[in-house]
Amino acid sequence: MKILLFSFVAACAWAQIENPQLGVMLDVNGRAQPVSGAPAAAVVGMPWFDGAVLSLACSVGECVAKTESALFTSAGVVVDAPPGAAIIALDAFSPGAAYVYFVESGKLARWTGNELVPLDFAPSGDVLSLRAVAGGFEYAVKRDGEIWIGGKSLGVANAVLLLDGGGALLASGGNVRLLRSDGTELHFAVAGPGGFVGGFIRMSDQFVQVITDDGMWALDTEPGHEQMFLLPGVSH
Amino acid sequence: MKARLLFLAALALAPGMLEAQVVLYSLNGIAPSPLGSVYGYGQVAAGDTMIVRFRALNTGTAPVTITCLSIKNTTGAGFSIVNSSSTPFVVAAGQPMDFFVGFSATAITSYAATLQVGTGTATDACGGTIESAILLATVVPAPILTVAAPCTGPDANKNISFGRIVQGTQEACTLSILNPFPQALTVSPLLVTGAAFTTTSANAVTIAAGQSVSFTIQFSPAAGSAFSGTLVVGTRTYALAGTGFSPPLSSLVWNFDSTKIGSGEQHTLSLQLSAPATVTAAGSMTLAFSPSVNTVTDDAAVRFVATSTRVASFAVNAGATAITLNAQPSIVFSTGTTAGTITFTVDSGIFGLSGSPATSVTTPPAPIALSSSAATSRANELDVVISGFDNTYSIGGMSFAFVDRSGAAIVTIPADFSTDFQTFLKGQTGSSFLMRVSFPVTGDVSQVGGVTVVLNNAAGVVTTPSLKFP
Repeated sequence: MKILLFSFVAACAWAQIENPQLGVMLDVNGRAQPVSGAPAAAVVGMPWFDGAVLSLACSVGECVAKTESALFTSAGVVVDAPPGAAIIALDAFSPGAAYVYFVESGKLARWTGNELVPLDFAPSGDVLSLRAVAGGFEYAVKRDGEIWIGGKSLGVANAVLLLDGGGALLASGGNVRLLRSDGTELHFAVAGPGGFVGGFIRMSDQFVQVITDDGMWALDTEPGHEQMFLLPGVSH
Repeated sequence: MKARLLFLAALALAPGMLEAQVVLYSLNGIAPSPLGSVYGYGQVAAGDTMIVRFRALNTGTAPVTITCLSIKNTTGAGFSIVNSSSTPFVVAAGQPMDFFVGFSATAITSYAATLQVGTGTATDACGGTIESAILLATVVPAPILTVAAPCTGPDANKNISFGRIVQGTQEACTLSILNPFPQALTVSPLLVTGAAFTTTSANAVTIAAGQSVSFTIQFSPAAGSAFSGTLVVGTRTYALAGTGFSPPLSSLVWNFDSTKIGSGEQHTLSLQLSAPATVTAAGSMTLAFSPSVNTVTDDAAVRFVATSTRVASFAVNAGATAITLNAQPSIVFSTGTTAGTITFTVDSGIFGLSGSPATSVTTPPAPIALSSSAATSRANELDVVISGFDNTYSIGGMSFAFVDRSGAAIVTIPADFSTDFQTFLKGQTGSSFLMRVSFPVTGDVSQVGGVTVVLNNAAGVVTTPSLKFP
């Protein structure tokens, strides 16, 4: 005889319904715009920030963005920051925190949610992407024409984005490779013949914005859902 | 006599009493030329009418009243005033009075008349101060011009029409000149002018009595526009007119990347012409959406994705069949999340289009499309999170089948959130939703291993995968 150690109060079940948020994208003018709806029928909302954003990374609950001279979050925290673009890795192990690499100065800092704390960092190449891991971070560099994570070469690529959980996105020409931590790969032909993938922006935990010379795309990185969608907005 | 001259001199010196002076001009177009004592109309073809515009200009400093305007035919009867202001007519200082004198006659001979412009008193009319000129004209034999199809004319105004033909093509019309007179007639000049009109005829031709000669004029419009020219046949000048036009573009070939199109999808559309375009053409293509769901009027996500609009430009080069859309070989559109009909319509403007300019695709009502689903647990609650869309807008009824850690069924709970969804969807531009259903639980939550959700809508049933609680 089965012993029920719990009971449902079915009559009290309730539903909360809202518009699904896919993430935040950067348009061609650097405006950070929320994207909502079904992936293939997405609509963009009002710009999150009234100004040009140079770098952006978002998770399901927060965004950290870099303008020319400041770092700010979707929670409204703004601090001065070194000029130029930045590479931002949200720290899923410490919500609200992030690693921020300032490209022009070559300096790395830890964003605590309130301030930037400088970190010692001596990369062995041009830093292209960061990823928070338990107790620290990993980074990808371009060295000798190849992309490296530590001592492992990912081959030749013109853009890379390290994904939480060990995966990575690599762009070569007009193609995107999704590398899983289990060693599997998925390939996506994004841009047309002669096309070019210019970079990646982490829109949310699930979606990555892929910027090509002829359009803005969103890649669903959720295992089993991997698919590309064209985002509203031109790329040039 | 001497006393009279002194009197006239005294008049001339008296301020305010000077006679206003009238000077006559002829006008060729708008340029006036002083009219001498004789004005020649030249040769006028028998039966034709030639009209000349004259001007009486008051060169004085005081108004003058023209009381007389007359033509006195002195040889034959061919001249007449055809249009003028009625007299007496007051002409202010420095101002003109224009009038028109026509000539027409049929007898082959010379004609003369006297043109008189008088400023005398009402009683003496043209007996007072008079400006005058002798008008001369000669009527010459006129051949009869006829035009064969496809051209038409000449009409009463000597217009010959070549009609409308496709630009870049040619149309030849045969014209005949008949000499109706009992003696040979030399027609000179015989000239064609105009960029689109040519002839192989000589510049002059002699036609035997009662005979006719034929020649051709070729109309070759190089562009899609109106063309004009002239044909001079002796003393007569005919206006040549024709229009070149762009042929309509051939019918459209619509290419969708899939024959099966549903909601929540992006598809690629490319367009071709069934035959090469004869001209470089451009226009626009619009997208319209008609929902099949009664409760909504539109879905904003149905549009061309890259530009977030429902209009795109199209262009095709001469000689090509491929049409570019927004300067690209194809265009991506979203089908939105509402069942209905998407209609694409091409507006080719002045270029025209053969066949239908529109096509439609239908996104049929479908079971709820799930984007993601997950199950989580809290201290005293189990949460089920599902996102997706319902293109029928009838979502609401669902059931949750819970299992324990071993997979054995625990309980199936039906639920109806129709009211919640109807309220939510009223404020949305599509049917996308993210639903979090929470189940309060008492007891050991960790014994609940998973849940499977069945969702219903008007088009069917969909079931989630088995969702595991952590």
